[in-house]
Amino acid sequence: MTNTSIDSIYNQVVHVIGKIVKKSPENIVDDHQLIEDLGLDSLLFLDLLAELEAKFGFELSIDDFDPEYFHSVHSTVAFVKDRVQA
Amino acid sequence: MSNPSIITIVEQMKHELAHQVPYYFPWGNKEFTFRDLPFSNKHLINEHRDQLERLPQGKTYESYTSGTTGIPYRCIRSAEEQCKLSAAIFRNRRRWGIPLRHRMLLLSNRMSDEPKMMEHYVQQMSIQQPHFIQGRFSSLYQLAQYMTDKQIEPPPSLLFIQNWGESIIPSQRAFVEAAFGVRLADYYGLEEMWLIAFEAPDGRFLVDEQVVFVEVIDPDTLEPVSDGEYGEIVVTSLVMRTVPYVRYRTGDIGKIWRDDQTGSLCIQLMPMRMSQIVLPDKRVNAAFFRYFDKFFYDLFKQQSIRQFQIVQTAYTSFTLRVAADELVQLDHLEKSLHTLLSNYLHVEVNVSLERVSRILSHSESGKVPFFVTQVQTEQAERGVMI
Repeated sequence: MTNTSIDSIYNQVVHVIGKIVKKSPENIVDDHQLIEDLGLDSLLFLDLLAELEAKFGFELSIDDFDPEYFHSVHSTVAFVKDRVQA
Repeated sequence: MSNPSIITIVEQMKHELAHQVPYYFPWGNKEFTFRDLPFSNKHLINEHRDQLERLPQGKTYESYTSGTTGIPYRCIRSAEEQCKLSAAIFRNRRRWGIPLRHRMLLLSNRMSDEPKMMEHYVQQMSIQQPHFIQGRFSSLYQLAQYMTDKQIEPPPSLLFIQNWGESIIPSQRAFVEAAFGVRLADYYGLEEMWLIAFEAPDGRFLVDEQVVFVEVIDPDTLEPVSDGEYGEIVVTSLVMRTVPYVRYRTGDIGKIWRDDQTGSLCIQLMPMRMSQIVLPDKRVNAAFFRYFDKFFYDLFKQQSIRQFQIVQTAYTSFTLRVAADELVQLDHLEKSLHTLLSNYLHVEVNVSLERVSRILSHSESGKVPFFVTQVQTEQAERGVMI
């Protein structure tokens, strides 16, 4: 995967997170925690996963529904990169 | 019985508890195993809340429960815990095919069979087109009865229906599933820590070991029982940190066993709780309850019995309340219950039969329990079996 596409995934994930938590992507940083810093709740969590599935075209497995994977912006980006590369 | 990975998790958890939760500090300098930690319950947590509760900085969610024990209790969760618990429930529902963005119709805990209320839910089914309907089993049964009587078709969007908070009556299960045209999934959980077990589409009732560690103990000796033996269900939440639920006594009676082929932990619950029979100066051995299991399932088999409930009206007096067709003979049930109680309580008991048109749900919980006691003692209020 090229640096450009990695950057692109990062930007797209941040954009999706911003859309879900209703924050501008410019105000979201890599080490923001989705629940504590960005106000993600249990309903928005499912919305986030639905958006990521739609945006990146992967299908989440049962074991993926663990908020630990989506703890921070950084871990969410890492999860998406992993699924996109798979 | 336990899988190695979950033992590792609870063994790690014990160190966190011993060094971060004041109540468990006395274990901080000791060599101990997880099973050396004491059992807990609502009463203990209420009494030591200042040493157990660790409030997070961010948002918290509160709810209150008195449950079937009658002990007022405040549940508190951090936003992260709430998210993890709700993700666990979704994960189990996902096995039934629901999409991430789904629609649920929740039946009221105080549902009545008034036509107006039934009409309301039929209308909601049509408008919302839910992916699943959740309610007490008795509420699902009422709605199923209404739909059958009025020849109302279930919504085509429906993937499953979900029971919560009540025992399923096996003889009524097929009727409910036929009315809704989908399978019924059973759920076992507590307000304190939410999900414990969820029925899989293949019919196995599975403990979710990503969120709980389950033990079954003999309530007299507090020792673990053998695989597949009935005892009291004790649960440790692997999610909750705001208030840790460690070796938490549920008062529920059940058994667990590990499926040989898949390694999944299966659970079966009995439709009554440890604390429900109250006797003066007498211990009731846990083994006693397995005989109720047979009695209940004999009752469950009788299609003509719509509802039933055993009510302990005094220490040695019990009433069997039954809602059934008038022509059905019930005397044998009265005699059977009398023999059962006298033999296993080792006291002479009075058993009476009361025919009723309907058994109403508990005013607070909305549940229709199969066994209730009207005997009030300090121990009973604390959920302690005597």
